[in-house]
Amino acid sequence: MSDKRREETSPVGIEVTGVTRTAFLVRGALGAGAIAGAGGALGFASQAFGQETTTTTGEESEELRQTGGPGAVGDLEILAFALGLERLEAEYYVRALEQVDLSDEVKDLAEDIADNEQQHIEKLLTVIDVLGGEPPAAPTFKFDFSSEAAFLDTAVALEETGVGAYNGAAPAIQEAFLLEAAGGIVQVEARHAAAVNLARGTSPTGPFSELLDAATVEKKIAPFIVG
Amino acid sequence: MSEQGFTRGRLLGAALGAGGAAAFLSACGGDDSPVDFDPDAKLGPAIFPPDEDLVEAFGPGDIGIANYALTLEYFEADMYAQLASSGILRGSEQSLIEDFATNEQDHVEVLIGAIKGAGGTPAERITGKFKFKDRDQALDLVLEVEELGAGAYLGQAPRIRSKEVLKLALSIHTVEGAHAASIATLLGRSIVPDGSISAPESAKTVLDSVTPLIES
Repeated sequence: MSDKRREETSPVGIEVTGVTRTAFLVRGALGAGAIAGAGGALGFASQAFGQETTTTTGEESEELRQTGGPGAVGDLEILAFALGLERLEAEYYVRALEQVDLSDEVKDLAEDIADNEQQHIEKLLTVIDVLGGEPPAAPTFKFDFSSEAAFLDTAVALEETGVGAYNGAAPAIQEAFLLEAAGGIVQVEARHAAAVNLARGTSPTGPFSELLDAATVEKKIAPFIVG
Repeated sequence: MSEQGFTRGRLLGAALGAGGAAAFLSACGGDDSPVDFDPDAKLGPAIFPPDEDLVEAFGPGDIGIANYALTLEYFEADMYAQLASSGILRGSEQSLIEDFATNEQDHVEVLIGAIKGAGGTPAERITGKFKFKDRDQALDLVLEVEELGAGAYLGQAPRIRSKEVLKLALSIHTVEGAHAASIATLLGRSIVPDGSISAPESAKTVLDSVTPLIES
């Protein structure tokens, strides 16, 4: 943490050969690749996860993007939303591993995926912190586990929603380093989706991934959120 | 210069003629998504500089990136087609490879439509020289190519200027990741070789790896 703080106070100008302060901070915090995420449009995080933020309409956020405004503002909200999705996914696998009688193969897969999602959470928290944001409180989730088949069905739904949410929000990301990092995460979500589909005996992918808008994502995850 | 013409209407209008276009439009939420193309639009205050190796091989701008992607899709489509007709695989593995062949051909068609719609010239079709020997060796090779393909899209995404082209790239990128994970699953390998965050690949790494396998 001390290293990250040191980066944050580095005397970086607004732009140095195209590298913004945001980029510098993110890169410093996370090493070469960077990190981050995406989610819905602005305002979505507050609706979906009870975060106290000013909501912004999609049109306003688009205007902000086009004018090259302070990227960290919009990006922070996307990061907060991504954090909510990752928390939902991580907790889903953790609880399933406790509560569902899974076959060895599915159990191994669930453990690996849970580990990935936990790492996404930690990276997102780090980036939010470094960018001066305040992570939203973790929501309370509810899941119904009745069988391995039911577990796989919901896992597929969550992973595919995650892919669509990141892909849908990615074009709104201001900072190229965050876009790269979000891409690195969403590719992993797509890998999870493929693997759980195969475990379920269903097709791992269609020809094109969906790009989900915020309202669609919100609708898909609403059944899992208590408050 | 090379960015001109990547309007949503022209991009998707042209793509409509292609076989996989309906699926892509559906993936993007259909026709009512906002028309947000602006030839001067940039991703934000920091867009990555061009990948010079890509520019040298395929030209500048989004059309160069799209032609790079198209060339990789030609290669992958041919790889799957050759493997599917080799008789090496059986049952569900054969079905999977046939599905993936169709996915890659859909990517080819949509990319050609996008490039033409933007006033560009699609790269010429290439074929691969794959020597498939047995199941494990064949899937090993496919996995290597898919990992490169997924990394290639990730490497270029922060360099794309047009949001419409970016959406198309994102929509394909995660399919390549799904392909890689699927093949890895068949082979009993890790589905996330880079760990929890996948790594981008430079055009140099990708082209150096793929070029020896291209039929000249």
